[in-house]
Amino acid sequence: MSDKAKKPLIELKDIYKQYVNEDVVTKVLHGVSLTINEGEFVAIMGPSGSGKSTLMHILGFLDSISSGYYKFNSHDVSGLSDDQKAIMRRKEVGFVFQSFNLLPRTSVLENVALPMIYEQIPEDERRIMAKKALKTVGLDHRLDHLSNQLSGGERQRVAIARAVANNPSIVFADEPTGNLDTKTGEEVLMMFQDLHKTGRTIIMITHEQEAAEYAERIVSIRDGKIVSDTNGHKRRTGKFHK
Amino acid sequence: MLWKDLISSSTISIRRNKSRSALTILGIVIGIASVILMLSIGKSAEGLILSEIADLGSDLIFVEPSAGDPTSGPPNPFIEQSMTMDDEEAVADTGLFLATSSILSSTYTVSHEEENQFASVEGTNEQYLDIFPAEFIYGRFFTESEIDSYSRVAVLGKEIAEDMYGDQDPTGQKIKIDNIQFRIIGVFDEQGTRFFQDLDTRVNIPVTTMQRDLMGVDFVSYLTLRANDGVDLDFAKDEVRFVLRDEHNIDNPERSQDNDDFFVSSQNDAEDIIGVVGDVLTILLASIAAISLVVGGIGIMNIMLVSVTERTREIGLRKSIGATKNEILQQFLAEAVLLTMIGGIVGVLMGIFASVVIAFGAGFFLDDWALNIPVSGIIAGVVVATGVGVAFGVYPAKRAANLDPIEALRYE
Repeated sequence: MSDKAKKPLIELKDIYKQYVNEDVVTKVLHGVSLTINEGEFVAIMGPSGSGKSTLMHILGFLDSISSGYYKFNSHDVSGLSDDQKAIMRRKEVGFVFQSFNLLPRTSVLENVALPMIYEQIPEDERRIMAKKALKTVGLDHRLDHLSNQLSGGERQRVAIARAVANNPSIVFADEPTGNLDTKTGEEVLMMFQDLHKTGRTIIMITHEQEAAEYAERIVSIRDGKIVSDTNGHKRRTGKFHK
Repeated sequence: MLWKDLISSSTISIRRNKSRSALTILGIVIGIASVILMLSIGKSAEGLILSEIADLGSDLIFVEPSAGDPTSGPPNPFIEQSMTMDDEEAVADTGLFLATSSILSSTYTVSHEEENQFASVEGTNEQYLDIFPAEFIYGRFFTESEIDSYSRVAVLGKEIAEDMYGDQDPTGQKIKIDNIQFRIIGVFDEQGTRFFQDLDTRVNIPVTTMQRDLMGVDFVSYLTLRANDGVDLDFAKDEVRFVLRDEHNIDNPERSQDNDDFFVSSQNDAEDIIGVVGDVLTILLASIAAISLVVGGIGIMNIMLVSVTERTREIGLRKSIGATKNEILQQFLAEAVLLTMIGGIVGVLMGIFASVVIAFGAGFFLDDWALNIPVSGIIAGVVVATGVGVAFGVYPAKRAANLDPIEALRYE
């Protein structure tokens, strides 16, 4: 992995973010600068209210910055319109959420194929790509199950398949183990490690040190500022993993 | 998003909530179905009336008392009985007519021994048969001298004759009309209906007798005229107006029918009036349709708003995986339009079904009732229903499109 070309995928410089709500200004990020290279597995860690979710939303083109500079793949993406951001999310980003966010009463295969609808990929091709993604998360035997017939761990695996199915540049995971028991959470984290080994760039948001230690680099954030950025920790691997 | 995917995703979400979708479109279904049904009934009724008018013949002219032109403006209920037998004579003197008859009609108790019934009695002159030809089973019609001499003679319809005298020939027998004794001189063969009046239960007597002995009046209800062959009907009508203005001392140099106390009409005019009635009916139906579709549309909007709120997280997810505002808008709009379009189609089918049932039922009572399926109504029904979907789907769809993806994803 280390001999991979360290091309910067994300470059943040002096990012500020504030919300104005009924004349009350809430400052969330105070001068965040961060570079993430292609192929990295980064955990962004911090307590609630630290600004880690806002940072992920900005990185994932769900939110805009108030001031500063955001370069994605060497392109300035600081001032994109809503539609431009939607296109970036569609092409470059996959999301895994704490609460899975699968479409209810919809088959596993259709859930995974959903993002590709917006990319206007024809149905046959969508199905092939979705099946492939489901194979990598070990759910290719459950294609026609409905999302509400699955366990929590299976649902999150479907969500992971959905995030990677159209080969995005980067996968964001927002507290992916928050709704899972320890064992299933570990399995999901192992799955991210496996995805990382195949060359994917992954950014995981978490407030748990243990979960963060599955990543190769940990960025700690507190009160809207980065307080530490380490990659020398001992990496965890699951107890249940062979 | 591809068209195909847009349609299939709308279909899927409508199917996911089958019973709710069905209830939602009920308003549209009922609105469209009732419009189709009413249009169909209206068309059939109009056809029936027009066929009755056509049966009258194209060379007939009617002159009735009227306050101005009855086709312009609402009918005046206070109409002076302005027509007399002198008018008929004056009109006949133009030489334009093969036959003319004053008509006076009313209803009286008609009796023979213990048998009595309430029957329509019509006073006419002897030329009546030349205007409305009829066959006789027994006897004959009145003669001119019987008219002139106020004879108390009667000609019976086939049904009333059978009711009161059975199978025997009643000519020469007595019949009492309003307790005045008449002698039966003839019985018509079966005639059926003319302009919705059952001719077979009617009694005809000389108009003079009816005026003097039964009603005690000097007017008649209306005049019927049959033009000679080759006479232009519009010319004949103008002549009748000219003669009657003179008779009634109406100073009317501008020849406006509004100043007349009579109205001259022919079969064509009657057809025109029915056409006007049809137009009014259409406007009425369109208003009812508009109201029911607005109500239906509000129902659709309501349910779509509920659906948007319920599916806030789904909208958040779709946005996070790259759906643009427009794509979300299209999706919800497509759902609303698909719903109302289905409503329109179901409504049309139900309307056609109901029309067929009504036509089948009406066929037992009205021989000439023909099933009419209004093609324009069917097309308009589906198009308008679809339009309602667009009109009332836009607001909920915009609400969905403008949701903030982050807040939508967090929505509980």
